[in-house]
Amino acid sequence: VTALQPANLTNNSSFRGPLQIAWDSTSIGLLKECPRKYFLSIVHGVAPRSESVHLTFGILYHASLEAYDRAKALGASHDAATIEAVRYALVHSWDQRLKKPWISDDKYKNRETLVRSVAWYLDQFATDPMETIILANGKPAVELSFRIESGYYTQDGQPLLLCGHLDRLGRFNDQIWINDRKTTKSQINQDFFEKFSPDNQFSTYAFAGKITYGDQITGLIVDAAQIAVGFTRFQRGVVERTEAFLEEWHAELGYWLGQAESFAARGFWPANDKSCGNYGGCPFRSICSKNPSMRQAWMKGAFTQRMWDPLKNRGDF
Amino acid sequence: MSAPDQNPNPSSSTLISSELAEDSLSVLFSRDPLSLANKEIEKIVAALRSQRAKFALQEIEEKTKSKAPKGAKPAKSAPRDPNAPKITLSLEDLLK
Repeated sequence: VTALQPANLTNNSSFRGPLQIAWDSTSIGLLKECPRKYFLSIVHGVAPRSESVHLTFGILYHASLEAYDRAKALGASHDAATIEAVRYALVHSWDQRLKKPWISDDKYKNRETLVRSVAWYLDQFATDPMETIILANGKPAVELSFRIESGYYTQDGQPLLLCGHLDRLGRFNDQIWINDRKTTKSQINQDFFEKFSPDNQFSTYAFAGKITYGDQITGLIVDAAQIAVGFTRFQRGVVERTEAFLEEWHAELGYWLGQAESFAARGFWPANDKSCGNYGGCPFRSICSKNPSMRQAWMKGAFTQRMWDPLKNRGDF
Repeated sequence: MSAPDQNPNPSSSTLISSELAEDSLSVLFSRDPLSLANKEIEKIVAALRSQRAKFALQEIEEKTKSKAPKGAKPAKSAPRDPNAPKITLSLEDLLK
């Protein structure tokens, strides 16, 4: 049993007491990976003091491309919308309070490579045959938030929600696709796209897309960007999800949500010590390696408190 | 068939002279972005497009070198017919 106590979750709209009721793919993914990692990140609300450059870079990259899509939907030319997107990237990667740019110690993901990648992506897909869907309210279907009932309930009958954000919905040959943008330092090849099947995040998106738009959703199209020091290279790939595949994913989701309720009720969050070395090493390894009674003290040094509220937050980590 | 989503050649309507813009790129990056005029953002975009054009050229050269047998001249591509009929795109085109 961990000695750590949950953070104050009163202001977190995705929680009722210690139980999460609105789940995004980040929360579900962490729970599946390691219940204790989920507890520390989401329930306890602990993050490494140095915010992940990947998270910052990803948020700014997505938001800048969204600025382009919005400008285009309002009738701006490609050049004018590109200027909007580049301006967005520059302004939001600048700390107005300290009057200095966002400093990243990562040679691949930093302010210069961010702005370059945004401009290059927009020119790469300037004549994209996949058109952004325009919603009934006239707005482009970009950074589309979804909040749906998962079909599962807590023991006391409270509905559990699935929520998140789709980067973009596009139409191509009269079919609707979920378009997701990914950045990576690795070379993009077939292996890169194969790792998304199975993948919790894309299954969540495909499930939510099917619930919201029915069979019109054909699948996911991934626009992958390889961020290197001197260049950004792009490649598109398709990620499929059949009806049967999604049914299986949904059935297993019910199992995991039930587990989460059980863990929360008992205050018991077991570690999955087979995943400590994944993705370059878990950031909580230095905590879990200490005696349970010592962990709280160790956390104070290298970690900071933050609140992960899927009904509000944007991003994946 | 052409790859409609892939545009290796940056916009021909480059906003301003890219050479001029590339020189001042680092200076513009160090400025408070809220103080940048539209013309200055245009300079940044133009410089980035210039970088992209150089990279695209470099990639083509590298591909040509690795594919062409020693001593062979690179093949010339046929000029595109502007009156050619429009071809229905397939998923493959989208992914190229």
